[in-house]
Amino acid sequence: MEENNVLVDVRDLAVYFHIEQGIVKAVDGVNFKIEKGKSLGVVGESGCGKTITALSLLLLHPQPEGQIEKGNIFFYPDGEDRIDIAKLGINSKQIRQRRGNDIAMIFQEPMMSLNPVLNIGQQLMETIRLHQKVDKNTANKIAVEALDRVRISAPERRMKEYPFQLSGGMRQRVMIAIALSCNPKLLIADEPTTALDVTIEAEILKLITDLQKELGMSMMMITHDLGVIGEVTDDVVVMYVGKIVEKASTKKLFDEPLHPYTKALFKSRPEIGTQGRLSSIKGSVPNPYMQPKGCSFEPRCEVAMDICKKKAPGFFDLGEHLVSCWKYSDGEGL
Amino acid sequence: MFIIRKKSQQNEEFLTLSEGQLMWRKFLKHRVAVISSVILIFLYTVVIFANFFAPYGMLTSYKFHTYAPPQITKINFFDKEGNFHIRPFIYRQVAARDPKTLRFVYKDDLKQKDYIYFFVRGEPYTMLGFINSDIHFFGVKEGSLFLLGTDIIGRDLLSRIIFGGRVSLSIGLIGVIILLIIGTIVGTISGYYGGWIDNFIQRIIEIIRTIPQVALWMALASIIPKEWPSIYVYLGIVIIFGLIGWAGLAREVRGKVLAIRRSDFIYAAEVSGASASRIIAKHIIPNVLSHIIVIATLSIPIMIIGEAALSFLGLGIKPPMTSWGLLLTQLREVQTLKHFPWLISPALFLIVSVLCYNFIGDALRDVNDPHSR
Amino acid sequence: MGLFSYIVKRILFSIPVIIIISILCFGIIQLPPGDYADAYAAVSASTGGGSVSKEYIEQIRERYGLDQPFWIQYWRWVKGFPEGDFGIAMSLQGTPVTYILKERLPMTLFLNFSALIFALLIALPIGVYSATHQYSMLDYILTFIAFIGIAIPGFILAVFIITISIFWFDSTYIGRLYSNEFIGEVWNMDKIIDFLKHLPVPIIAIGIAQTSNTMRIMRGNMLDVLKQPFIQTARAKGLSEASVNWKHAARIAINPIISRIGVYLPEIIATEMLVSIVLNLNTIGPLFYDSLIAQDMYLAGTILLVISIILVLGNLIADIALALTDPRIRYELT
Repeated sequence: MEENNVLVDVRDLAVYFHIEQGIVKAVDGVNFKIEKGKSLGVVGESGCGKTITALSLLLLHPQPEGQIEKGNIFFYPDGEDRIDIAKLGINSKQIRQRRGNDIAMIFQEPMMSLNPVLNIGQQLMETIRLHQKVDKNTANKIAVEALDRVRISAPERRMKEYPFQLSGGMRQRVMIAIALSCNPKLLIADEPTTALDVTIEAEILKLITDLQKELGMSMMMITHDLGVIGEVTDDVVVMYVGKIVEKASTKKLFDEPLHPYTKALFKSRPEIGTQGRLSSIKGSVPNPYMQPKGCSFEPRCEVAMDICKKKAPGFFDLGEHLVSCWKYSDGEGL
Repeated sequence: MFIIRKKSQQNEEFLTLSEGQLMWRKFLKHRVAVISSVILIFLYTVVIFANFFAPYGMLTSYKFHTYAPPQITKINFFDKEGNFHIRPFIYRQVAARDPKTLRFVYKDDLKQKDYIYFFVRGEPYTMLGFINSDIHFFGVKEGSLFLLGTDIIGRDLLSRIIFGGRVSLSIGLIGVIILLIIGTIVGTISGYYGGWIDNFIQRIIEIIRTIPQVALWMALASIIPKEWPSIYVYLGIVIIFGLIGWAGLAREVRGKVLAIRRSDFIYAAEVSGASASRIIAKHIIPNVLSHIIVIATLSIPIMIIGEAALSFLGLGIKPPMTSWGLLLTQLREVQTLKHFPWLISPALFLIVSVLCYNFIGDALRDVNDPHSR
Repeated sequence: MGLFSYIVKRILFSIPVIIIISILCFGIIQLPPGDYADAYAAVSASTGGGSVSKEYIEQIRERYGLDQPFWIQYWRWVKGFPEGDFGIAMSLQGTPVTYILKERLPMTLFLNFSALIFALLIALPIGVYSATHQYSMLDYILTFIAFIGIAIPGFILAVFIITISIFWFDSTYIGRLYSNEFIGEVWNMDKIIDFLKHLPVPIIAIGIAQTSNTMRIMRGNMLDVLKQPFIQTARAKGLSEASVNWKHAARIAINPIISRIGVYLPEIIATEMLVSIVLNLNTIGPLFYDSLIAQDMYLAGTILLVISIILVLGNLIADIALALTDPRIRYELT
């Protein structure tokens, strides 16, 4: 990968939460790149740190408990020098210039993610007038166009409506419209369809991918649903308990998942024709009061070895397919 | 995610605590509320055993010590020669009549030391109707010890505050009981049965709440015949508070009952043939109980202040009974406070009690809320 | 249109309520044994006017119709309403009640509403500040002050303030609302200034409990609102913290408070009555008190009725205000 294809380069990022009972390592040293015009999926169970990773790209991680302990978030905007988002001040002017402008984010629950007492028009125009120096009328036009682009019917009428008057799918479209209103380079989508019906989910995903191609945007798609990954992303990283355990292009991952956790994730998806009990991953996410010394997945791993208990594995490169598992230490497959 | 524990590791035992125990522990975490509870327990103990704790009787007046200034600041351990005495003492206060104003002026007689003793013999009394004694918690064997000064006819203010506390602190409790009973019953019926009963009751509540409480208090209090003995007046005031205050509680209860009413587990009970009273008693009431307790606790300070206000205006407690509000009546003449500032001490007790109840009520509300940490 | 018919409906529904209240008010005043004539005799006797002859008492009774049954007396009172005749104040030499009220009502209303607005103006910003600077030193101090403010009854505070003012400031601007020279004078600039100097004490004494209460409620509401997802959306748009706090969070946090103005009003009115009695202001409070003692049922009954009507109106205004600010409620009404 050449450097000037990269939009975001995250290096050794760690975000720790300082709470009463101790320190929680929500994100514990992750590395990944997002290329221009391509989409990266981040998949894992609830609590694995994928959302915090996404939030930290915009310095939106919960403060003051959450702090970026170390690492860099390099961002390469067009025609500017690279900046390290991790070094910017929380809520500083610099990061606020990027939010909603260069990097936009949509969230999981469209009902709760829109201000209930402001109408659609107001919420759209707020972003537009914040980042673009336009007057009210122009902003209005841009807003209506944005609604049109996300395929909402009768956009002028919608401008005056309130969130509670819209369906879940429409609200999510509005969120997308707001996010895209200033033509961002990167769209971060945090479980955008989890709260929607399956049929609507398909529509929204299609909308997002179409828009991505139309606008030449990069995308970071956070989800726990492998189906979404398969449909939408070019590359994918798998996260478990704050760390990345596998990284590859989506095609390679689906062709041959390597890490035992990834394999288990694939196996636990019900498929048509499945009979008998659904398989699940034995055990549960580690007890917070116990601290594994070795590989964090070891207690639940079906093929764990002795060394897994003692030492945490690094990354092994099997040809543009990185996996963090001792099974692959000699470069051979399982 | 795994957590690094800064403190020592805890064992893996999973204790199961009952809900009551959980709430108790949560309550204990609110240090302010715990301190408030301790203060209130202390206050209630003192006023229950008033005769014992108060250095003087409620009505005893000392003709030659009218408007005596407080002596609490004059308690010494070191005498003027610098000697230390373990037992605290005060110099005897002597009164002399000022020739011009004919009021008493007070000076300390440095030749007379009155030592303060605990469990000292003083005025005899009959406490709580059956305990005869003359032992007081503290006092002086000779001379006088007016820690908070005296009033216009020479009655010890501290003692009167302690006795007055009986009224001020009990009215809230008893009034709240009446309010609880009426409010819960009415609110539950209203919420459970719905329909026209609910509508009817709600209209009544609306009407009651439309008339400002204070005006109602005043109006109803003025109904109490002037000839009634103090104790009846006391009961009258309590009943008035209970009768007016239940509306607010009933509304809250109704709201909670309505919310629970539609729950599946209530339907299940009804379908299995449980009678209305059984459902109400076994399922609904326990669920609203915690809210009721919070509201009740927060209503007590309102009644305490209400009684103080009424008595302050002369519409409440009558002598010979006394209450903190009544003790403040003298302050209606503005000049009084300027000359005898210690007379405002009953207000301090009022404020402290109200604060404590508010803190406790707040903490209880927090404990109930499943969303707080 | 929906809003209009809502208002009309509310007003129509209030009328039966007010009628019942008028009966209640009148009845309550009549409850104490005896009547005005007896009270008159008692007062005369105790103030050294000598005892009043039985015939004279009977004369008074006849003159004011005090010997008639309850309903007749009630009717005598009520029938004058359409013409604005609320009976006469027997304890004040038979002055028509309307006249007395016209004198005192405006000032009472002014004080009450000023205290309410004072409370809101101070409490709301402080509440917002407290919530956004949670656990800071200032937050603790403000919370503490708020607690004290709630605990000290208004009338005690009034006494306190009077004493301090006289003691330390030797101020003559305490008690009463005008200095002596201005009573009965026309409103010129001097009188206005004098009036303004007299205002702070009553308004603070009346308003402080509400101020403290509102502060804490606003703080609580803000904390709740700030946890909502749409706040994160707002930040993700690139808005500054100030915008997020005020344009989004505070706007929503205020709604429960507006809807509770109906509850605030009675408390303020109640406190105002007590404070006025202590400070000897010429508002309705002291008037009510005196009329109760004298069992002047026309005066006392009318005052009680008027206060209740003020409350009903206040509630209505509050509900309208809420409908205006919260579109969800407006929607439900139409």
